[in-house]
Amino acid sequence: MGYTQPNSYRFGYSFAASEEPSVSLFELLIAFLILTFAIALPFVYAHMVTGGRTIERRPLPALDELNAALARAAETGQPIHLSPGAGALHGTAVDPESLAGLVLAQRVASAAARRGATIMASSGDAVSHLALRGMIRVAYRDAGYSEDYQPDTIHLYADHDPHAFAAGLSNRYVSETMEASVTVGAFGETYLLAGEQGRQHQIPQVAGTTNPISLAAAILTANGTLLGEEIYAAEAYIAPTPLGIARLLTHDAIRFLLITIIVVGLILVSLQDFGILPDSFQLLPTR
Amino acid sequence: MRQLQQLLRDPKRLFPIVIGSFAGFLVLASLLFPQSAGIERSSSEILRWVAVVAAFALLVGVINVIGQHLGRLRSGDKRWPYSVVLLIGFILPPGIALYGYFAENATDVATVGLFQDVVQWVYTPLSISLLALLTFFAVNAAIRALGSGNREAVVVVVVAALVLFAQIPALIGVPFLGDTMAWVQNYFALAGLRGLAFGAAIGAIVASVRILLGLDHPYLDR
Repeated sequence: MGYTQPNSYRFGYSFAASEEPSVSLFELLIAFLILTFAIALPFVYAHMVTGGRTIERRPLPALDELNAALARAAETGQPIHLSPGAGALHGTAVDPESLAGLVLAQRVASAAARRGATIMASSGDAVSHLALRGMIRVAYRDAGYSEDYQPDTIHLYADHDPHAFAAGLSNRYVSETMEASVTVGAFGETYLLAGEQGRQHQIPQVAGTTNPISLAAAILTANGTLLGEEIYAAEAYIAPTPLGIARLLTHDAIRFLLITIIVVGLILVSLQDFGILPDSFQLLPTR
Repeated sequence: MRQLQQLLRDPKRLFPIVIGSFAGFLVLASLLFPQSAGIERSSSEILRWVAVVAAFALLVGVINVIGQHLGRLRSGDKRWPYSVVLLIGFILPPGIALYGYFAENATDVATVGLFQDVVQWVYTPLSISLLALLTFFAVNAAIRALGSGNREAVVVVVVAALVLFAQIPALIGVPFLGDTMAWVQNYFALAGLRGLAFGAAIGAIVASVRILLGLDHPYLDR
């Protein structure tokens, strides 16, 4: 019997060349349109926000839990635990959820360090581990507390093995005291192993992921849950800079663009199916 | 603008960001133009370099883990037996690889019989046991959620219970039940999942672009 890695942790995007489909002109056009929006709009909106445009953000109750935990941590001296999960950040499969988890961890670490709270972290990916070490060190340094940085509180639990990662995180909840745990990033169904342990030890948890199975587990065990795209938006709530708020507006603009593209695509395909447009019409996606 | 000027004056930050952005856009271009052999070759080469760099990151991580557990052994922590098991786990695979190389002339550790035995009799049963634990954890979490009255949690538990209930063999013959369940899964559940996927994809695009542009650099230990 040959050793095969479990499939469950391959929830990232594969860059394997053999799987690449051919890209039609229509798809290329859409990709460029979305990329142009994603690159240009944050700067346009940031300019508008700096110029005084007021933005109403819908409330994210999970972040109220997080802010309350940060305030308590500064008073009690108990650390805030951060984890971006066990998703890959290297190789042929990269997980954008891990990136979102790392960016949020960076914002929370900065806020915690500024308030004098201590930080501990866990990850299930070697590259994330190094990134966490760097960002937490920088957070302490920027807050003027470089001497408080303790690299031995940043743990790596296995590398790309969600079972081992969940078991390690679960053990940390049992054996160490913490004010709250922020588990936002790439978590699979094994999230429940750690989340339930944290709940039983009455650790306030803020969880977030885009995986539907672990979202259900997070709703059952965490005090606050970030659902789907909220994990990408949360950092702008923690550090509401003009560029951060501009990114929230960019999400909405691209969503509107995608809905428009879907409707236009539906109309074009229907016109072709009814014979009004010829099969050779160049802008139609390859089917 | 002020941030950009600061960045241009700091080559220690600028250089890694430029390299990261260039590599990122090249890989992105290879996905958009798969027919271009030159871009494809460059992108594959960069991804191979990433694997090498990640191996060094893994080495740092391994040193961190070993250091943690050696420290625990030295300090006489009451959890020292777990550290011993972990350290044995670290030594075992390279030990088997060396044994396979010298005794069986095997260049791939996965083909060594002893390694396969360890996976079959140790790793796989442990993984399955952890997954089996999930069932009990899920029941425990569901009961507590019902007791707590959290609205979202109650919805999750009630829907899960209904789906489970509808799948028991005694109900297979009930008219319309199967079709109704399939309709709910194919339209309601799938629509929700696709909405979630769309939102997450938009967030991922915006997050990736700002990292590619160097506006955010969670990877940078400056």
